[in-house]
Amino acid sequence: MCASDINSPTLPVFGIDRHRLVTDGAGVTTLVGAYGCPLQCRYCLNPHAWNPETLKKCTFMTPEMLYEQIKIDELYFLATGGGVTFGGGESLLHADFIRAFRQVCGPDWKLTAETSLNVPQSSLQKVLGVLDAFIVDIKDLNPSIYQTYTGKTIDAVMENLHLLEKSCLQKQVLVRVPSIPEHNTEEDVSSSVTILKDMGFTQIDIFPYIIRKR
Amino acid sequence: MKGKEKCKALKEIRRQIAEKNDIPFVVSQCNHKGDCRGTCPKCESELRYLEKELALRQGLGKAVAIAGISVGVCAGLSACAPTTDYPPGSAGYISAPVEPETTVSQLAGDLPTPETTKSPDKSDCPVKESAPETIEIPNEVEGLMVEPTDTESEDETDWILSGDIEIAE
Repeated sequence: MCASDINSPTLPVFGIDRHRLVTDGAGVTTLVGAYGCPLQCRYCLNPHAWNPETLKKCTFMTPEMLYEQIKIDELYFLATGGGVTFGGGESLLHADFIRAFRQVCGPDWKLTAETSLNVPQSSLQKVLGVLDAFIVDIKDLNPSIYQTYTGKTIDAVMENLHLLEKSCLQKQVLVRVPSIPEHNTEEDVSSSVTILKDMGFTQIDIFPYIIRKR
Repeated sequence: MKGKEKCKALKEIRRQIAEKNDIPFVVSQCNHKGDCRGTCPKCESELRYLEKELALRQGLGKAVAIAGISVGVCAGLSACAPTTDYPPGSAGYISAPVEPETTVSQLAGDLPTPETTKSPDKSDCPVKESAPETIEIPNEVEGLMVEPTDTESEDETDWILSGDIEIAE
């Protein structure tokens, strides 16, 4: 390990998925899954991201290590306006890492975070100006529904939405508003969308959590 | 997105990079039956070939064009994948505990650095019944040893979304 690595933040990576198209931001992207989330949503897409067993299997990577792993797709990133999407888990728990990664990868890669925004505002502030885009899974903006579904209060989410609004970054944000079985209704979804539109967010993706037979 | 669609899109990106930079490159036709990951050692070696050629041109002081030249390829793809296409193609989904280093290196990271300009080796492609229409890139090279990946190991039809709701029969 070189001296510069000693103070580098590390990211507990449980998965790296290359060649994502369309689903995680513009262009060709590499999705980096990092452990840890303050929420424990019933229908979490990646519940392993907060299962303690996962942490034992994570690779703790410095920004330099991650860069070395994923730079093999740089041509695709540059040609398509793509880059790296940090997911998880809650990617903004690792804001220091994301800042450091930008220093390593340079300005040309597009960096995106998939986030619930349920993080301290200081974390979001650290990545403003560092990230090119945010994909926000907002759950539901009714505080009661939100708390029932996620187990956490919505306060931090609202504060962070307002910070994005005040920073005039709405155009860099895709807000995903799910229809959550047994938790919200069409009216609830519409209400969330209205609030978001009033705040100036224009990229809003309404989608259902699908029900499947196993 | 199915692997085949991904393969086609990535192939088109490679073709455009080559075309914009006057790099000799004829895209082969993959006749692999069934779905795949969307990339394979042959695809990866084509990408490495382009990198090498671009570096050569930059070394000669020539301008290269890369930034944004293939934005349209992705823009043309469906932004709304069918819901049945959830994992592994859904937003944010990433499979449970893997070994990231292995995942990446098996795909491409272990490709040896070519001593000379290499062209993709057709034998590296896990294509069955492959009958490439052409390729070919000049300077056929020996020694590009890449373990074939199992292109059908990720059968999307078998995936069940972690957060799916189970319905009692």
